[in-house]
Amino acid sequence: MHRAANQLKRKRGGQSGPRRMKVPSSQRQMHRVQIWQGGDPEWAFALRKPDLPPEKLCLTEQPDACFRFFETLRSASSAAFKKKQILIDRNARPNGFATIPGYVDFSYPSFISTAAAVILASEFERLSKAHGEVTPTVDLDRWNPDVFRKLYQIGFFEIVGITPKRHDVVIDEGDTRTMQIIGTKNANDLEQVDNGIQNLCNFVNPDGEIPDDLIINLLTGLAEAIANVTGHAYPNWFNPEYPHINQLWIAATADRARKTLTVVVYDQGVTIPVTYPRMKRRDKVMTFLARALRGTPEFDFQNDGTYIRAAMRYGGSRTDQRHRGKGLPQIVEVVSRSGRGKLSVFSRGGWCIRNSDGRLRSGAVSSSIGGTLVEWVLELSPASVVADQ
Amino acid sequence: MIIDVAKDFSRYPAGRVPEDGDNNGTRFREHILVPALKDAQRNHTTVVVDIDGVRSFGSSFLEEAFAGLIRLGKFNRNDVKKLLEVRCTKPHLFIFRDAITSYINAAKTDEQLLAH
Repeated sequence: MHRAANQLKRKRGGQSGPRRMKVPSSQRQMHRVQIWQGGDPEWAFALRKPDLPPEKLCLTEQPDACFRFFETLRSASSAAFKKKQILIDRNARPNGFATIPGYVDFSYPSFISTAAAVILASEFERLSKAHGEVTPTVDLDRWNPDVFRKLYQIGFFEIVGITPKRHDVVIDEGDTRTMQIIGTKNANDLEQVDNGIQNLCNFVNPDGEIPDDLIINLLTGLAEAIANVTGHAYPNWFNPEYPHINQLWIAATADRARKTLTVVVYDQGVTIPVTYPRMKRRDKVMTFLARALRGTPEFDFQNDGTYIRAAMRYGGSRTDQRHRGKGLPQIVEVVSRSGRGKLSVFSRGGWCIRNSDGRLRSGAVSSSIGGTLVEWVLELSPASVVADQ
Repeated sequence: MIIDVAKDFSRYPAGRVPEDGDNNGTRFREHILVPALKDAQRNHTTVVVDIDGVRSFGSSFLEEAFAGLIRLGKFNRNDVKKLLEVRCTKPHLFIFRDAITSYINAAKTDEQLLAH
């Protein structure tokens, strides 16, 4: 077991200090919590009830609750940033304790997907950078073990700044091996991604029978996704009040039991449903959109899934140059070349999923995930099946 | 002249412009491909681009590097076809070799695009 993991486990194991209150923290207004920024844990008062994530933090299983949670988290972080609220107030110290304005109760969720873990890590990193201070964990010893394990594997604590950067880039846990998040601004880190993905493929199939072309196709798709982010995600006019981190996050998980490889790319940029309507489009795209868009949406972002679907089918170009703007269709093509696999694109409040059989389905909710996430689930064995959820 | 993309440029060519990364299509075209093609044109030889060692090859890179020769008026299509040969022995990379050919065949100059 890694030293960093042991250190984290000790932090989670409980320390001597004030006795815990018996009333669940989620039921109380001002209450005592244990916070940790990487040094010694300390006790603090939380000034309000914590935000509760959904029981399953998974974009496909609980999209409504999951999207809403990320929007709530982002809104709270944004409000704190605008009010110049500090993450930990050590000056007030009622009864000798510091205070924190609020937090998320991670004892509640029992599952977090790789995709949701990447978004969560990026939001915590954003919060740390916006405040110039490490975002503390709260009551880490109560966090659900599976959720903690996934976040540890993916490098959450390093990204937030709580623990130093690890040298091991992949971590095993039972039947899964995870490549920790690579934060990057462009395609310069493709070699590191390649090494990580080869490592995951060897884990799934130690006999080394994963065909090279599958990895090359995947890297090609990633290169397209990265070019999409650098070309479209953070345009000059996109200047949100709550500053985004001008980069993208890449992570991957291999599942030996299901013989699947999941790769995730996420950015906090302007999103497809915002950029796509601004593009000059071809007639067939206009026809598709005229038929599919709801003239009077019943809720915010209701048309977002349709815009993503159009972008996946037809592409587009904000730059109005015909040789550009084929990013998403190219990614779809790469995935279809790779054999059986699922491609999901989530952007603002919408999503579009291309299943193994090539069929597209799309939808939307009234909350935003705050960026664009592309997820591939590749089947590394013809016999395995990628479940829809 | 032979350009081994993996050895002479990168195993991970990706993206179109410098913002996309160091190994972008513009850099490959301007620093490697155009000088080699000009040299070949002067000396009545050809340029062989060997893609066997690459590990990624996005369409944005391929379009910018190869179709960009014609789109930006560096060479006309016939010259590119005469001077350039793409070498590839690995079957799983044939798709990229064919993509280069189709990008060259479909490339239009900016003037042609405007007229269209």
